[in-house]
Amino acid sequence: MTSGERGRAGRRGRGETRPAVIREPSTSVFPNLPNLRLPHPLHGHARLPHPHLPHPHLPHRDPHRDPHAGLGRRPDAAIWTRGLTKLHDHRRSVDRLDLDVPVGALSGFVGPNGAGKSTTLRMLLGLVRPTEGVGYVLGEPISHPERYLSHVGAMIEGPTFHPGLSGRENLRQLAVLRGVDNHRIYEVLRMVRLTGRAGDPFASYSLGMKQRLGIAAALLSKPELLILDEPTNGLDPAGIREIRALLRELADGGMTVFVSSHLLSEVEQICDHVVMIRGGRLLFQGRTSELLAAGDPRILLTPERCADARRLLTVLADDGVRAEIRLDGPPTVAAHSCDQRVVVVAHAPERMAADLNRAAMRAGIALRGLRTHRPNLEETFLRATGGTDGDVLSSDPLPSVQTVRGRWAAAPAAETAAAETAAPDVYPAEPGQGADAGRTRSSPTSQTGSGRHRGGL
Amino acid sequence: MARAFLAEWLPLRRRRFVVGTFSATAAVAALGAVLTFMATGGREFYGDYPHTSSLARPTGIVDGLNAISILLGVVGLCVVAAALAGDYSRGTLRNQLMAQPHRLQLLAGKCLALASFITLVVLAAAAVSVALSFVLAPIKGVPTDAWTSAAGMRELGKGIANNLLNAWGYGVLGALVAIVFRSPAAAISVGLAYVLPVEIIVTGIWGTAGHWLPGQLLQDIANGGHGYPTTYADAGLRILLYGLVAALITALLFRYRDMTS
Repeated sequence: MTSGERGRAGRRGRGETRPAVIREPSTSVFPNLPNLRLPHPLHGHARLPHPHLPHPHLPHRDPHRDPHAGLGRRPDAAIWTRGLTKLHDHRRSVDRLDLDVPVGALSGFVGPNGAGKSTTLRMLLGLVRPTEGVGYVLGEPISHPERYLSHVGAMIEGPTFHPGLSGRENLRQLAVLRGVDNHRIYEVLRMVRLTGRAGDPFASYSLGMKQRLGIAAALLSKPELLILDEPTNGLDPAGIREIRALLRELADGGMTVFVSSHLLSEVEQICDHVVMIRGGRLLFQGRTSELLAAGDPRILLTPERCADARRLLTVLADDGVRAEIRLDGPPTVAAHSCDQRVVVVAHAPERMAADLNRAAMRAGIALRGLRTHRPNLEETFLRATGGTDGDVLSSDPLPSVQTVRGRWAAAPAAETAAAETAAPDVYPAEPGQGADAGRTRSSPTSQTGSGRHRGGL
Repeated sequence: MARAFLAEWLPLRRRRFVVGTFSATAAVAALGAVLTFMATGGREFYGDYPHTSSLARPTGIVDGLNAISILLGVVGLCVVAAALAGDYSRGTLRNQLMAQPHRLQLLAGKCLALASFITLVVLAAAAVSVALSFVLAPIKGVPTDAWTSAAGMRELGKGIANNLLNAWGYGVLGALVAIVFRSPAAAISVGLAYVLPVEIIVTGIWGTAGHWLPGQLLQDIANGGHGYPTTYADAGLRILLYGLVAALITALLFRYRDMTS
């Protein structure tokens, strides 16, 4: 029986069957992604139906004090919160956060600086008391961390150990506190490949070694749930690959892994589930593949002759495909060689590539190249979170955002919202143009489709 | 709590820390004994000076130790404040709280470990002081017969116990400032600034305050109530009250305050 199965069995054994949570419909700028919530272009989050409202299952009474207050707890969730809120001097670090991290998932927790990730993790680990809301970890309320922390391993805000003690002694201190035998110390040191330097003082470790020791400490108790904050920070590429493989291995063994990271390529590669927050609020949670699929897939068509590009735009527009012309490559290329640079970008999913190829062929346009581009997690993340340093945004959030909002009032709300969050300093989209048109116009060489273009070609 | 006690002893057992602390304590104890005997029959020192006759009494065996009681208190304060506040500032307390979420048990285990360490420090200081007293006594012509008598042994036991109470009292203060300030530098500086200059100045200006200020009362206890206006029993009772209040505040803060560092 894996640890995950043990966890499920244990929770079932507690005999607390509760009604399944009824999720209210939510508004998303990604049409196929109901869990993604972005701010309204004019009113920000205020006009979006907040995930917390209405919550028929969330009682007005404090469920921590009254276990029968109507709280629905997901039996398949390793981490489950409703309305989790933390106020710091009237500032909401975490704002009514509803988390659902399934048991056995390898889940990424992403958000810009100051998004509230660490505060959320601290609340889940019983280090910080939530101002409002409820949460359950491994089926136990976060108001009683002593009930579940023996099954949870965590490293948050970097590895912190006694500098004067060796790596092994630091682990021994935690092992003594947890009641873990010394043999396990050797096991976890071997897992993170730190046995060779285990006897050296922690102060002499490189950042990567400190990270490994932090992960080793988190694994000491053979946890059912592993919570890691930036576990690959400071590791070299080989070390990152090792940790990635280790996390995958742990998740495959049934352990739930909840990993916060700024390395979105890492999250994209290893995580099958992702939670995205901004400003303490949930933007998205669900399968990573769902998030990526809901992005803006594109097909890049390179006509053999430069002059065919405009005609290709028309053909695509007739087929109902929004497209634009872009010039790729360095601008130093001579004007007569524009054939080497022109690309028609069609906003269409990968499965339409063959159709577009046929349409071009029917119109007598020969294509020199055809490739698909699927937005990665980083692009999706930047699109959703605004692509701005979280610290800068949190310190001075209003002027730039408000200025841009007004310009996009006429654009379709969903796309404008995405464009707004993508880059506050881009040109505003004109009526009839989508958000992507607005974004791509930050490049002076791009032309929008629908048979209309200005200059350039 | 036993696990927390054992876990806390791991950093306390560091060779550098042990050697540093015990060396400093031994040096201070030696200094106290040497100055006590060298001052015999000499000039008045802080309104008092030891006589050969007074050193020859059973209490003379601990006079050298009592001379450094305030320094032993400072050691107790610094050790506790550095250990507890250091856990906050380094972030190691975060790991410990995840391994032992029963916060009060963790605090109790840590405090017990620190108290036992302070006990060893005081015993070491007593050993050095008493040994040196036996070496210096013949030099200054102080008879030591009374020291080795049963009364002398009782006085030695009482002196060590009083200095232990004194050091533990300073340790409680150290725990309080450590939990309040969560920084070793701030905790130690504020703690020392209070018990040394502030209390001394206040007592110097308003003598009655000496009956109530905790630092003064701890000195009273360390010296067995000799030479102080407050009786030993009164000082003990007041220190017990202060200690309970300080321990309560420390426990409440540790239990309920968010762990943000």
